[in-house]
Amino acid sequence: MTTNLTYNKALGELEKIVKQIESEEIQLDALSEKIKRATELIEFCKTKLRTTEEEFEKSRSIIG
Amino acid sequence: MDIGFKYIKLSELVYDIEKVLSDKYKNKTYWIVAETSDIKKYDQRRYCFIKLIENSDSKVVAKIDAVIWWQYYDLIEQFEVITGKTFSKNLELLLNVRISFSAKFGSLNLEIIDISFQYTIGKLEMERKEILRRLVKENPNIITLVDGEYHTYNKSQHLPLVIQNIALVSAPNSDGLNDFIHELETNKYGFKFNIDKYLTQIQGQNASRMIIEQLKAIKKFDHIYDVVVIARGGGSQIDFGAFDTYEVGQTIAALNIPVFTGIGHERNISIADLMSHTSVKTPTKAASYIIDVNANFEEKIESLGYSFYDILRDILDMQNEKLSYLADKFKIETRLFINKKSNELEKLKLSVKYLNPKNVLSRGYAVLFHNKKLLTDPSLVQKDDILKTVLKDTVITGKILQKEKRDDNQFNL
Repeated sequence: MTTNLTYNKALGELEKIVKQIESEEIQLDALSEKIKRATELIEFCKTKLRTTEEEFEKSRSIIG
Repeated sequence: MDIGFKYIKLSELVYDIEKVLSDKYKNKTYWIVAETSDIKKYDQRRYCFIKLIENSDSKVVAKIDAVIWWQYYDLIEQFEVITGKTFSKNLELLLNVRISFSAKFGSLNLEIIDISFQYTIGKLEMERKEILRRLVKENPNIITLVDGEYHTYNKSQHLPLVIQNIALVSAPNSDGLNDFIHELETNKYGFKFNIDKYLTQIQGQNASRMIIEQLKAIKKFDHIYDVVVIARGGGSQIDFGAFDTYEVGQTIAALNIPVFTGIGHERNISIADLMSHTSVKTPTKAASYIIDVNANFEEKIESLGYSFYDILRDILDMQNEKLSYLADKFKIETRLFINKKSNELEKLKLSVKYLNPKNVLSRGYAVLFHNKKLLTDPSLVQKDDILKTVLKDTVITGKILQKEKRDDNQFNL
């Protein structure tokens, strides 16, 4: 996966892929590649969110 | 004894003087302005001897003894309470007196039967106004008077968000000092304070000079102290002189650390109060004020903290929602996409199936063979040629009887 990927970039790319699939802009041959990429992106975003959640809870328990 | 001229006894003369004075002054009282120069108070016996003088061009032009007897002794305490001045020498007073001459003791003195507090208050007020006027006039860079309000350099100093390091100017072991420290140290929030004591005389002749010295000493550590507190408390309501001097006012106004005054002044506002950053009535109130500043900050931080978490929570929730929505949509759309493609494939398969000749024959169609070859070009055959007609499960061999152009209306295909 691209190293300088950000959450927002990943989300944007995911949106684009979903839109392409939805509007059938892509060839079936490319679909498999797109599924792979979308799965990566979802995983990436989930990890980011989970890490942020953990930081958030930690901060809360310290300050709150 | 006759010695050639007339003489009388001392008592005769003194009693005569007494009579003359009595005739002229008996039952008469006078209001006089005089300055006190020497005072002997006998609190136990409740009387007080005073030397009254009048100066002109720094020279004494009149002098007389005066006394306050026990009936009027309360005047002294009342004077101190009401005017805030210690009853002492070098005071200019307006006194109600009567003349008293004692033949027995040969003493002529004035009996003080009343003191005008109003005169002293008015005079103090005039002195105070004059000092304020000079402060503004002579220190235009640090003191200005705008719409009846004094603006000073000290007032323009910003209070830190949290007050922790305090320089305390107070008298050793005084109520003011103890009240202030006690109030700070028992604050309900548990705030900690660093208090450095700058002890000074707060009453009396040297008070003004000592207070200034301490303020100057504090200024050397202006990077350490958040505020300077001048505390003077307790019961005594007299002698605020030190807080009404030009020099103390000027030093406070020019100080670059915010000064809080809590000098227990019930009667009026001192010059020190007017020049300082914040003035409150008592040292205890000065301490509460400081605690409030800190509590206020803590509250702000807490509410900021809460809203910060609320916002963060919202962002996280929103992103979580957005991501699961996208992930779901991705699953659904991909499923739909694949389904659609496979449907298309199914259709194609069906078409292929329908096009298979076997399937075509089963639906009632037939193909013709001529010389073992599929006949697709009718021009290659003519009358009497042998043709094999292949049906679903039958082969019919026949001869061509006739060949003509097909009429679409004749056969309904």
